[in-house]
Amino acid sequence: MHTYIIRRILISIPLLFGLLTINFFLIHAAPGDPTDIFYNPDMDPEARENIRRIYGLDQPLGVQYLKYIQGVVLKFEFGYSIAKKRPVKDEILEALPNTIQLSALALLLELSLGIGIGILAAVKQQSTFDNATRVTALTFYSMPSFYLGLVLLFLFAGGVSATHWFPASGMVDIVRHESMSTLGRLGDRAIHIFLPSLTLGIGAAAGISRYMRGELLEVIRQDYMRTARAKGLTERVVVFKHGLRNALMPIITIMGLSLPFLFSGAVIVEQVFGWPGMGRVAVDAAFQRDYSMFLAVNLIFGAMVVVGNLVADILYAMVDPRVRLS
Amino acid sequence: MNRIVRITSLGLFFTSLSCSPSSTPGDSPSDSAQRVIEVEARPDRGRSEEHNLEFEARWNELYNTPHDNGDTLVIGTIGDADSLNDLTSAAITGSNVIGLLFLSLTRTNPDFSHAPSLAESWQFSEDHLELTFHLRDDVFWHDGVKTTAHDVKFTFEKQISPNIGWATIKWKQFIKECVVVDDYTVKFIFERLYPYQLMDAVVGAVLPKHILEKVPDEEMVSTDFNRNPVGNGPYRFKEWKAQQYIEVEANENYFAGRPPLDRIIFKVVPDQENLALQLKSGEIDFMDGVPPRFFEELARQENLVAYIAPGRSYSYLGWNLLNPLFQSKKVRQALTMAINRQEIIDSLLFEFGEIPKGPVLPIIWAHHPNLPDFPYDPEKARQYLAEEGWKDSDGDGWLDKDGQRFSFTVKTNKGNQIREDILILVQDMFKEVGIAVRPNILEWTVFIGDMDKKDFEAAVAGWSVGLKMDMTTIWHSDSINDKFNFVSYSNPEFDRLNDAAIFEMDSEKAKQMWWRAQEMIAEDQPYTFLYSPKDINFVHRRFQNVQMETVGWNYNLEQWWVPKDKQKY
Repeated sequence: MHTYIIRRILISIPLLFGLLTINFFLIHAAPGDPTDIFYNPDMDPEARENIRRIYGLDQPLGVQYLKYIQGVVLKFEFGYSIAKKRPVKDEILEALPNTIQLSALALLLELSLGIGIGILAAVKQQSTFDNATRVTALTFYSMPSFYLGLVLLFLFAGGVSATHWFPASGMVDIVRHESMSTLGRLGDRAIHIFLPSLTLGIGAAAGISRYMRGELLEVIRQDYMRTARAKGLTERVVVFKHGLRNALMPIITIMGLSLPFLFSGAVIVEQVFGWPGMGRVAVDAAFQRDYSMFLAVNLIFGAMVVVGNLVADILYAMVDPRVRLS
Repeated sequence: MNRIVRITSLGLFFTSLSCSPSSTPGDSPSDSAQRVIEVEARPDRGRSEEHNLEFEARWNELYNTPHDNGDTLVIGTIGDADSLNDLTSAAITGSNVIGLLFLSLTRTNPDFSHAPSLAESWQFSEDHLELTFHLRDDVFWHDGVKTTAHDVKFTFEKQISPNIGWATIKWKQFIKECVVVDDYTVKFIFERLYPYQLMDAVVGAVLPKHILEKVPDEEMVSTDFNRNPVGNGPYRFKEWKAQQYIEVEANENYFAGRPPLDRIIFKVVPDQENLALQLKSGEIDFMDGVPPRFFEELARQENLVAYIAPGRSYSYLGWNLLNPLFQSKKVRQALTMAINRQEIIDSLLFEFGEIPKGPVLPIIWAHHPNLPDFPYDPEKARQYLAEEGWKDSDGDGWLDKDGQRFSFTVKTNKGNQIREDILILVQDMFKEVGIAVRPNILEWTVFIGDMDKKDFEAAVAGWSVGLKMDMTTIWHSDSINDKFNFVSYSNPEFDRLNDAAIFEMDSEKAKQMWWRAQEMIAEDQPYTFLYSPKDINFVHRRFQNVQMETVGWNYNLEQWWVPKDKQKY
């Protein structure tokens, strides 16, 4: 198992390197350059040239590429952000934990809601609950997350004053957070993260619930389930011990594959709710042509996809005794 | 289902709510207190080097009248700052915070004249080439070190260093030297005589030498000071969380006395819809540049006061004069007459705007009040075009000349809803006179790239108007290739006038020259000047002594206060 994991990580290095290279030339090929943010008549062309020179943008592209790669490989340096006036690393270290927090909670919501509703719908097949969740799931699954986010904002974050239960943006109440008790701070964080994580997680939860229901119905029809019932086991034991374990396997694969979507979904959700994470950094970097920031952000998103897939494979091996990683 | 449909049709939040005919500003609901305040347009005294004692007295009044300390102001802003160091900051949020943290030599009065700040007084030498500032001796950096003339000289040297990349370096181009006379006296020596010597000398925040002298020029863009500034202004830096907020707190040792508000927080909010929502719900207390479509909804809120200030920017439809289609002055005048600009202002700006006749807006001293104008008149437009040979000879509804149809593409940038909508309106208006227009909306960097390369036929864009009267970068023929004369306007007589007016010391003479220059541009119509939007600001009612002025909504931000019984935080 260990050698398998190490090998997988080693294989991903050239992959990420290729990603970096392609991204480097793609972003440089895009029209405009980072000094465009200084575009105003008060700024002399001379001042723009100064800035280009300070950041080495006046050098040939090949030289810039070699310098960049050299920095990344030898010193693990990702350069300076022109738009943020600070090392890329600092900005990312500030934003990444926020995105992980949001994505993790969304994943938790996705799994608990999705699996829970899926099981109930399967057990009570054809009931009102089953039909209702089917329609609801389809609605949320097909709704784009930015739209859902805006609807939630309007309904619960100030658009309708009677149901103004949640703040419209940010991670904490920036005025009062400092003076709150520990419990108060926790609650403050909870009400701020609720709408964004719900927006991010609910679409995927809807998908998972449908898979879960289908898988469980499939399993329930199997012979060994009938055997279990014939042995006189309670329905609860039959479903949860014999049924669920078998039905969960495909869900793990789906979960592993959904990780990249979770991160890319975060890009949009962060934008709607002003969540200070990687998504906002990524969008700003792309529009401002903030080259080094853009490259670093993409590298991290790439690495997360690799890790997500690896985790799914490992979990799969843990759940399914027939699979051995070697 | 019905509810969902309604939410959708609301366009989320306020967009369609404000589609109903908007009430005129000032016509607020039955409420005794004033809810909409029109900011008075002060005549710009322009290049005045005199004090304006009336404004200074009003400014000092607060420190002699009883007021309460405490409470927090939360300012909503769309973009995060990039740096809180004046040498490296380019974003507007950054400069608003810098204005609270740092002092400049002078402060700007509502009529654009200069008021004492770090400098108590100043005077020019006999030949007007040396400008001496006498500094206060009671200003301290927030770390306790005194601010002196050495800081002023150090700042000047950093501002002109090519290895730092200060954005407004050209403002210092005629300053030969900055000399420390003694600890509290500093002198600027100029290479030549010109009207804006005082303004150029004082532009930029004075920075602490004892901290920044350790930073090599090349490292200024990434130094820690950019995010942990030590200033000497009324507020001191407290905390900056990227993409979340910047917080400053009252400076107890401020020379003029502690500013009333405990804290001012600049909160980063993703977009204008969200900002308006938070303004309504009280999560933020202030927002500037409110899109006109939100006005009516927000004006209905009991706890908000609106301030409507005269515009400091204008939008235009620029004609690429290198293109054969637009080389005739008469054609350009006709194109302007084909556009119903009042309709654009009424429908897209909800009447919060005016039609500018030229590039110099009324807030500037050199503004020409009676420029030639080409009001909406499709009949006359068609007649002008016919005189230039553009007729519908084949009866297909489109004008043509020598077998070529009159059609062109108008480019603009994505992300500015009003500009995008203008393209659609203008397409319809031109269709009326038989001209086919194709809209093309581009990403910002692509758009300005195309403008630079002259790769456009017509384009909708905008300028904010600087305080200095200088038309070189946008209209001079020298600026065609590497500056901002996108449309390639070239008029030798204009160039000559502009070059002379810039250096004309007699302001009455200069005014005559600028008037003549504006007449030329109005006559030539290289742009169709579309609209100049008013600046809409909303602030929570609990704040007292709010004086918004044409020089900026934050003119006396450091003096806002809240009575004890109304304090929220």
